[in-house]
Amino acid sequence: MEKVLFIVLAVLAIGTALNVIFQRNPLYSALSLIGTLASLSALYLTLHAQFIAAIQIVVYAGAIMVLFLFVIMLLNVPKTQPVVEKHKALGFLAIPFAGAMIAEAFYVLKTLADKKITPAFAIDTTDRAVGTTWSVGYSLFTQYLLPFEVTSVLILMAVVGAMVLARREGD
Amino acid sequence: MNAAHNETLLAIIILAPLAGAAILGLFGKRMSERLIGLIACSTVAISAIISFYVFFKHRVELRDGAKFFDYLFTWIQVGNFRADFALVLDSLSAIYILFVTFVAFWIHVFATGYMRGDKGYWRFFAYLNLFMFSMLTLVLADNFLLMFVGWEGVGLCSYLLIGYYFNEGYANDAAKKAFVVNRIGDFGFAIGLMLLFWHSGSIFYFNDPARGISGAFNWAMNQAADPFTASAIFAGGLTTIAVLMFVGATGKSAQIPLYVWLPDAMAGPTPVSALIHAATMVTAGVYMVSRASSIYTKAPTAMFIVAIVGAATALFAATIGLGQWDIKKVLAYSTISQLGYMFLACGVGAFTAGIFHVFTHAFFKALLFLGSGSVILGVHHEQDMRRMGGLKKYMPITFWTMWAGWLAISGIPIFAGFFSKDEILYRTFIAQGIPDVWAKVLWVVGAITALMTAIYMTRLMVVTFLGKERIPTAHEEAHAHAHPDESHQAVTPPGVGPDEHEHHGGPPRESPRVMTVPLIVLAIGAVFAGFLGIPKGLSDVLTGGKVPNYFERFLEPSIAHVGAAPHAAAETAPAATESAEHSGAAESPTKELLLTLLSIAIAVGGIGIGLAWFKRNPLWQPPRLLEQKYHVDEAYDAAIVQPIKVGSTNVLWRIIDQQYIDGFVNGMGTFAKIIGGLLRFLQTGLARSYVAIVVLGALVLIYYFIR
Amino acid sequence: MIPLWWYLGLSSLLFTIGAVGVFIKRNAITIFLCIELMLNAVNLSLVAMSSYFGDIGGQLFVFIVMTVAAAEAAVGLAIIISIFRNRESLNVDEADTLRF
Repeated sequence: MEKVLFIVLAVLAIGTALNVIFQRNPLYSALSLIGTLASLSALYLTLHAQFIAAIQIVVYAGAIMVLFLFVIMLLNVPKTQPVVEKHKALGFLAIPFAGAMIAEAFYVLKTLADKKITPAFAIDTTDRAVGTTWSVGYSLFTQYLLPFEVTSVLILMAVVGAMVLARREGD
Repeated sequence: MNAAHNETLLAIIILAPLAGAAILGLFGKRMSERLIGLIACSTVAISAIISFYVFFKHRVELRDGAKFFDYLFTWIQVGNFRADFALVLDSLSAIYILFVTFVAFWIHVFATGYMRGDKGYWRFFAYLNLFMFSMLTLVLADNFLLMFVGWEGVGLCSYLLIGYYFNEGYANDAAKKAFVVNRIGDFGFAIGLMLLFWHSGSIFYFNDPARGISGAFNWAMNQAADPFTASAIFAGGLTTIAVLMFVGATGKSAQIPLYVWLPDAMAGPTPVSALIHAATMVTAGVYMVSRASSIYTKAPTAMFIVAIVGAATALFAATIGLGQWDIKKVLAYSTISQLGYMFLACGVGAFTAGIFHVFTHAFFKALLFLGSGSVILGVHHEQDMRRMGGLKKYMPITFWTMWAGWLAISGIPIFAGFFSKDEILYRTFIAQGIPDVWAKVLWVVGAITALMTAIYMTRLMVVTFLGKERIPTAHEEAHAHAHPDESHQAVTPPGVGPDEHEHHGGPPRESPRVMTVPLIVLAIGAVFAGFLGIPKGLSDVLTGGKVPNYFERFLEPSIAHVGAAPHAAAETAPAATESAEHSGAAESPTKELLLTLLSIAIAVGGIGIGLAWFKRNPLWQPPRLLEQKYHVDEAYDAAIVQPIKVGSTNVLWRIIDQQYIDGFVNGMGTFAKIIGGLLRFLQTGLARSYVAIVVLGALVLIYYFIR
Repeated sequence: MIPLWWYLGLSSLLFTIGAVGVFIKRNAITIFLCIELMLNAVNLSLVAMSSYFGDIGGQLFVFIVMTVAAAEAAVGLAIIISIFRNRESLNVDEADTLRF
């Protein structure tokens, strides 16, 4: 049952991901990526990472992707723009690179395949288990407080930076 | 050995002027002149009061050789090397802080009047207070390294104050000259200290069981004396240390061959000349040699060099002093000459007499300089004696106080200089440890110098205060300033004082009370300070030996003696423990009395010659050679400065720097440029190619790990 | 029970797809989307490991990766906007003035 669910979600994720790169129109690519994000969120749920699954939808799909869509629509690149086909050969490099990457990845995973690992969420089923909002929040405000605060500073800098960059001269 | 005590007040003596310097340096610009003067004088007054308090509180223990430490903190501690920021009060440093703070206080008071209206008033007093801090650190330091700090500190302040009128080219040149010449001496001093540490393992003066340190003097006293040979100088032992230290002393105390900076240092304001270049800083060399007396007494060759250099400087400078027209230059050469006397005393082992002369000299030379400052202000910044004359009528207080200084420096009995100078001459005459012929030769040189001192000081007094007035009118003044007289151009300070607007013209007039009071106080000192150290022979005759030589008795425990052991020798009066030389075989009251009478005759004779000659010929043209200072500056320029300049320009700059160093640096630049020129082709500007490189790198890395 | 390596394999596949996308696409916005895809692939493996080994650190790392992704999107899109304003094009191959 779980495996079926996983396979369905995995196929969905890979399908939408491939759609991202094979669409010509960036608008469709972005919409397709939302599909990938959603299926990943569902996968997180199967991993008992409820908090991450929630913010995956809220932050990624809800905020970041909307920002992308907003920019795509704002720029509204005319379709009639001639496509410049420079350096076409570089695209074909992707095939050997992708092959090598997958080969290396599965070479590593092969060693894992035989091992029986019992997931932690199968043992600890309390409401304070790893992945619950409680556990994430607790760690975030105790042991990982400094990174958390630094992150907030980073976002502030990004906001200011984005404003300065996107601003028209004289605005 | 005497017990070590604590005296925590010592820190205040040095820190009060430092606080003053800090306050004035930071906030002085917005203060009124009155407030600045108040702060500057009061901080020095605090030092002076505490110095006197400490002195009178401990005078008995000090006389018995006690030492009072004030440990502030450990400054440096590296392996065996340790230097503390700690102060020590013994009888030598006690005498020094007494007269330094006392004289300095009155000079500060004088300066508040002399510098009135100057734009850099606050700067001047900040430097002056900083100088006091450095000088007192130098004197009170309990180890050679801290003394060196003070030593460099006074050098720095001297530089700042000589170049005080920094708008004037000559003042900057003089300041740089003083600094550079002093560096030569300090170089020797520093090497001497290193050598001392190398041998003794300590740079402290004394043992202090409380801190568990043993002093270098302790080590020196347990060494066998070096032989009296020229080769000992280069043997790297005690004699080498002593000679190197004396090199430092020749720089700071303006002895041959490094004296040349002091006459030029007169470019600074006159109170500076009085304080730094007459009374205190320049005697630091004498202090250092006396402080290290336990080293010098083990190094007879070094002592001999000190005596020879001292005597030569005394005579040499006195002859130049005879030929100068600038009132301050005469006093400057006189200072050099008197410093030579002090070194002569140290060199023949009469350290107490040398310090005594430092002590009396501080009074009368500060007085003479301040008097000259008063004169300069009175005649509207004229320093050429040819344009003075007859000032007695206008400036009676200045005249009479300088009169006291004049008699003191000439060596007329009851005036301070008489006792100290007579003592030095007598000790030179009976000096042991150097060949007897040399003792007599040095005595003759000293006597001639005494005669010349009396003559040139009489000349100064006569030409300045007596005779016809030669003060030019405004018209002549303008003409006179165009006169290409080197000595005149060199030292005329720019307009200072309230009368700047009336710089040309107006009759000479007496200085305000704030300047005359210090003159009077110092004049009293110049008259009576000598009674603290009446030579034994004189005392025997006049009072039947009832009045002991307080000064010498007090200083006794701080000074080592030639042939240290003979403390066991017969001591005539149980009340007064006289120095080793006094109990020696050469002791003879009759001889001493005879020599005393001779030196009185010399002084009176010198004054007589001076009066007789210069009253008639006040504008007598001295020999060109003397007026041109024996062309020493020119000789140094040709022998040292020019070769260095030429060598630096043609070899160091044009060849070494421009060709080799620049070549190397430019070569590195060219190399980087070539490499960069090759590597820049990696920058295609194509975002996807960068991705390709990154992915390739990642793949290779992963492969490396899983391999 | 799903084996851990399934998640990791899926993660690596997604990552490869993202990397290929960066290679073959010329539109700056699409390239950005592919980068987001790669980030998500990594997130998946982090969450999977975190959950399997019971260490919350991995999920916090994901949290931070998301923040960085947000910041990066904000700045990156701002850059894209200003590039588009200057060149009237989103083709990254044309924005190649920064070269030898």
